[in-house]
Amino acid sequence: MERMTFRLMFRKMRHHLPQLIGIGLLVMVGTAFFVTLYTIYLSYDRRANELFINQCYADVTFYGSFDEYDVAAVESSEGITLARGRIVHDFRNGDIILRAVSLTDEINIPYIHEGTLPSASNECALLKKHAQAHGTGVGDTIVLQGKSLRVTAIVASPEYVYMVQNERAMMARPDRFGVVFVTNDFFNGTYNEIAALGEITKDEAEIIGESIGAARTVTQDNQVNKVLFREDLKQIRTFSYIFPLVFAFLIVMVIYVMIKRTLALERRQIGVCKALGMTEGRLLLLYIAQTAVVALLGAVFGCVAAALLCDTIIGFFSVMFEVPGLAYEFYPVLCGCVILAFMALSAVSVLIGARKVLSPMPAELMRPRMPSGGKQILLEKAAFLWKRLSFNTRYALKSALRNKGRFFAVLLGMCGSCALLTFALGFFNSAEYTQTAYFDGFANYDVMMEISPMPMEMAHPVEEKFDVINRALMIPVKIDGDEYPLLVVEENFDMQRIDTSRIRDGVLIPRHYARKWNVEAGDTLRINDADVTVTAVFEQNFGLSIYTGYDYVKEIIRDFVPVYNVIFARGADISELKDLSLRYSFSYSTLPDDKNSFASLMESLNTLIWFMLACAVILGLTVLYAVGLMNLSSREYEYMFMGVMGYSLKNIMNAHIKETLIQLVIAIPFGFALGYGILNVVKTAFSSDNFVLSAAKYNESYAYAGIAVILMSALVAVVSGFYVNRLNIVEGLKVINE
Amino acid sequence: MNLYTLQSLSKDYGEGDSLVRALRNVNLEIPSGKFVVILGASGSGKSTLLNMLGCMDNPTSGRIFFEGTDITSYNKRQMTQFRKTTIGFVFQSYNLLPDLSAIENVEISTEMAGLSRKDAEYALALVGLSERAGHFPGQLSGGEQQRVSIARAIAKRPRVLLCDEPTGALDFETGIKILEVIKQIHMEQGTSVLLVTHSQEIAKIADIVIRMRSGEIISVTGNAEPVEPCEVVW
Repeated sequence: MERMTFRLMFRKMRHHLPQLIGIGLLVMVGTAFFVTLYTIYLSYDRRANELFINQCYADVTFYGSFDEYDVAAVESSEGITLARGRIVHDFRNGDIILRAVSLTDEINIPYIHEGTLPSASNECALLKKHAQAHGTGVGDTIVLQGKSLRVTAIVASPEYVYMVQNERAMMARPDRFGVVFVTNDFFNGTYNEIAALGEITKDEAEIIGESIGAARTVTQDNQVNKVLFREDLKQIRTFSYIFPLVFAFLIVMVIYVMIKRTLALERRQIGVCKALGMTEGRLLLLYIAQTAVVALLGAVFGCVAAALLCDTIIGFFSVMFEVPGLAYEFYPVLCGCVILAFMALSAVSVLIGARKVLSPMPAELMRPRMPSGGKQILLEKAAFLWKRLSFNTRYALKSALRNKGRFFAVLLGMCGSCALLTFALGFFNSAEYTQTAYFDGFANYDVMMEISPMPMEMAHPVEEKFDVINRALMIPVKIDGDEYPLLVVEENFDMQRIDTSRIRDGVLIPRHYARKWNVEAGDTLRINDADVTVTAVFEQNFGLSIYTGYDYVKEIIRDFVPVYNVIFARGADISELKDLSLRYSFSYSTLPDDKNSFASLMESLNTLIWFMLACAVILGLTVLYAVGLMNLSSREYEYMFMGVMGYSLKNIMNAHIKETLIQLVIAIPFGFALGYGILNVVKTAFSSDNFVLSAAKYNESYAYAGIAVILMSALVAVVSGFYVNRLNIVEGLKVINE
Repeated sequence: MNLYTLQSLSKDYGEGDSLVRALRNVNLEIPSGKFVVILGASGSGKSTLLNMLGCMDNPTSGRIFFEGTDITSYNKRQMTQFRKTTIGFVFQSYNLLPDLSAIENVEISTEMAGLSRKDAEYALALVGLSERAGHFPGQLSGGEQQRVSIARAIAKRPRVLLCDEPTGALDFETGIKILEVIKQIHMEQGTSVLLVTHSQEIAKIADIVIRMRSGEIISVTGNAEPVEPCEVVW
């Protein structure tokens, strides 16, 4: 671009500075949102994988009872390069569960944040999140099963990026659950886990597991820790796209409207430039460069904002996971791509708006534009109604539709803002609803205890401690090659609200599974090697399982021996459970604990929700103000003329408000629908085989979103009032812009 | 060789009932190096003709030859190039770019033509506005703006200067000064000038006067003794 054209470009930018600032702001917020979340996505992916690789995260873990021979057998298996036996045991101390894990060299190595790994039986390393929650540091002492252990290291573990006890448990609060790494001589007894490294498939791992009599074989990809990691990655990425997409759409709209109006105003100047020999391409560049410069600045500021925000957002995410070294990292390619994408977006928007306007011959451009012929609006055709409207209302209705570009831009601004507000509030509602639906609606037990399998005719000693108990059997089954939990229950089972009358003739499955396997009630599902009937589909949000009865399970598992390994119970003092669990060696989880864990997890998402709400408000205000200002400046002459004719500011504002009301009436319902649509998209990304988010919106959220959009419009109307009030009738009538 | 040769040139605007025939079958030869005035009342088609000559618009039919080359067969790019290098325009309403100062308005033209800033400064000096170079159009009087417009047109040293009612928006005294500047450029630089006006008096300064009415040429007369702009009164 030549020097003068360059200078002209910057000088021209002054004329629509508010709109350009608006566009810049939208680009900045869109960029900040996207770059922040995508940077977290990339950093998390990178850092977590580094942790998995560097700390030799076991490729497969066998659960059962093993000795050195079993370990050797695994190690000598094809595909396995290394195997180590270990003992893992949960100890409960009041509300706190401490999991003791015997250290294995070269596999599942703890990452040392501080200190050195324990070398004696009275030493331990403590997982950082638990240590932080209790203010424990290196040199402090903790008590585990009556033994005092000196903390020699604060560590992270590739197995415990997420504080999850097992597949069926909720993510634990760090103050309630911790992992303690101890030396082998802390325990006496046989190994209950073998961790192995190697490149083997799930099927090959299971064959090895069977050969050593493992109760369960879990490959790394199926470990709850890894599953949660993958799901979180997916969720963060999905989240990162939503807002910027809405922002991008509105940026296109605002630029389109702005450029159309600018070109209409500068039509003669364009003609002059063409008469002087300026090419269409150069003219196009002159306008493209204006928005591209703004997009560049907005995107660069957005990247800077992302750099500032990233660590704070990572801080909120770290409630859910802990990966050493996870912090803001500058990804030049990401930032470069985002900057280029927004610049390209702005260029395309100008191209769409300017292409036709720039093509006429200079003589045509220098002639005044033919006034567009007035058209009747639909309502005018209903003469009986139209005649009854006041002039003010008729003027408002016709004004609203006079410039369709600006009308739709305002509509989209209101609609987009309303949609994002509805989505953000709806996300909050969904979390709350999901919590209520499961903990207050579906679950009907106080405690769930996982015991060693017992024959049905034998009563577990813990049963007598509770008023009501239900027995069940939790066993893994295979569907489409993947493992899912099957809960075998008796017909009197009432600890979870499922229709037990249907367990006689088939299986009951959660809706999430039904969608995943594309089956409905009445369809046939292949479980293990048997075709079974799906008798019902129900909603379940946590601990998703397939349910069936003790009679029907024989159709699925040949040679089934009726045993139970889970006891659901209610109606007793659960504080006794600690002693009972120690005495009878079982693990348990209580519903209030799980509820608290989920609530605290959701609390950590509140900041993200506030971030989204702020973005939605910025979007709404920016679009409404930028386009509103264009509307006002294009009608300046009209308003001044109305002033001359004796129309008061109140009358003008009445018409303006009526026009805004028409737009609100159209935009808000669409905003609600769009917001709900986005929520449903996000809901899918947030749902997994462990947790299903139910999309829910409470009426008050619709009300809040609607009110927020109305308030934004009111604020813009007030600003418009000041603008109209300041118009100088005498001077203004000398200039007609449009 | 003639500067311009026009063959059966017509220009229509609109269609159907709203059809306006701005030029009707115009045939004309304009010699090189002359000060030509195109004279006619409002709506006679003189500005339309000027636009055709400057490749500012396409004719509906007919041909225009510029020094023997058919410029009506030019594509958009060639037309732009023609305007950029060969033609200088002076408009009735000055049409300066409000965001550029006086010197910048001239410079944008020289820059496009591949000339230097000095050429722009020289042109501005030629119209006597060196001291107002840094002023923006909004800070200049009508006469000054028109002089900047002339400087912009002549700075790229065009072969032809097309002036569309250059005094139309000016008071008498300023108008005379503008005509003097145009005449001076014609005399000193040998630039062919085609000036559109509705004033019989201004036509007296021309070498050739082309009279138009209703889109047609009604006469082409030579002026044996053109008067000086300062002698004109209207």
